[in-house]
Amino acid sequence: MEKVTDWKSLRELTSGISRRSEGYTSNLYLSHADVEILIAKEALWQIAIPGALIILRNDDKFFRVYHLAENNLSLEIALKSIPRNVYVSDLIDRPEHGDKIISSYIKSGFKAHTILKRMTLIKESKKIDFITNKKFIASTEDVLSIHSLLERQLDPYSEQIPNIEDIKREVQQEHILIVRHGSDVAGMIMYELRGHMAHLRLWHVDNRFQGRGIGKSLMTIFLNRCCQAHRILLWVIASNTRSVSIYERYGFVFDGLQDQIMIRPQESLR
Amino acid sequence: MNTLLKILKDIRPECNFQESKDFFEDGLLDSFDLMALVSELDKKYNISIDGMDIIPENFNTVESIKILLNRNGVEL
Repeated sequence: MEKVTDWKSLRELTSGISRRSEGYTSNLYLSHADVEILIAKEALWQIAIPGALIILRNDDKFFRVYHLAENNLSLEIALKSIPRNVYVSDLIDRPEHGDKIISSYIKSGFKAHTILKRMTLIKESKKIDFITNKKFIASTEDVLSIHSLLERQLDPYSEQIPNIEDIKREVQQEHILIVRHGSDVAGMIMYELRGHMAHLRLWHVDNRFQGRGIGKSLMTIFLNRCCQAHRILLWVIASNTRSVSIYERYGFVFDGLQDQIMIRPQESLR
Repeated sequence: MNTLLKILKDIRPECNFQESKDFFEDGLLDSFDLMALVSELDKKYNISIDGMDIIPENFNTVESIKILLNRNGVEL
């Protein structure tokens, strides 16, 4: 296992994995910019074998696994060679395509954890200058409370909980909406907005404050702030039928993409 | 050129690609659309785009897609 030190050498390694192979598979969805940030943080590691490349991203409590492989056998051999630790992988595909890859992960000591499904809302794009009451926009003073709420309530393997730095960055962009209760954060929405597309990353209400309309208020503000978007995306835990039905009420529908989260615990080995 | 626009429109019918200067910055395509686009281009032109060329910078306009296709031996 070697540290990834620059984009160019990583690129040379990935170029060695032929996409022409019939069994080609990859779950590497990082952009060039993401890779550069992770390299600067010294958070990326690589394992290269003939026909497969594994890239490991250190997420503090576990490593996230990305792969490029020419076939399932090469993938299995590469996965089996990763050292003892906790690993999580997102296998994103349409359900009809993903079974063989999931099977390679299972043969390499991984277990199926959760399935996330993507939901999409296609709507008319409107140009409205909507002014949000400032009390709903998170400030730097809310960062620790937001992080604490997310850590308390979310599954770290499924949800990619943002760290303090990520939250600070989103706060600066005014992409976190909150409802406060005293010094606590009772509920929050975190989103990305790029041109005509919005991504609802997190929408959570503290268990203690549920049933008071906080989530609905936040969603209304979010939809108003994203009025320019004609496409809003989100990922939901497929088995969470309550959340799914709430999203459906707002017009979101499953768009066919799913993310099978696989975990290899430290003790499960070879 | 029209063929590229048709492929893009098949992936995201609701989007107006002709008015966009950057498909990703304007929120017309995301990383999963990119995979669908690569797959369509591979099939259509019988090429195999290098894994590390599959980044938004190479697909953010019709022109940049054209340059990438040229690098892969496709003349448009």
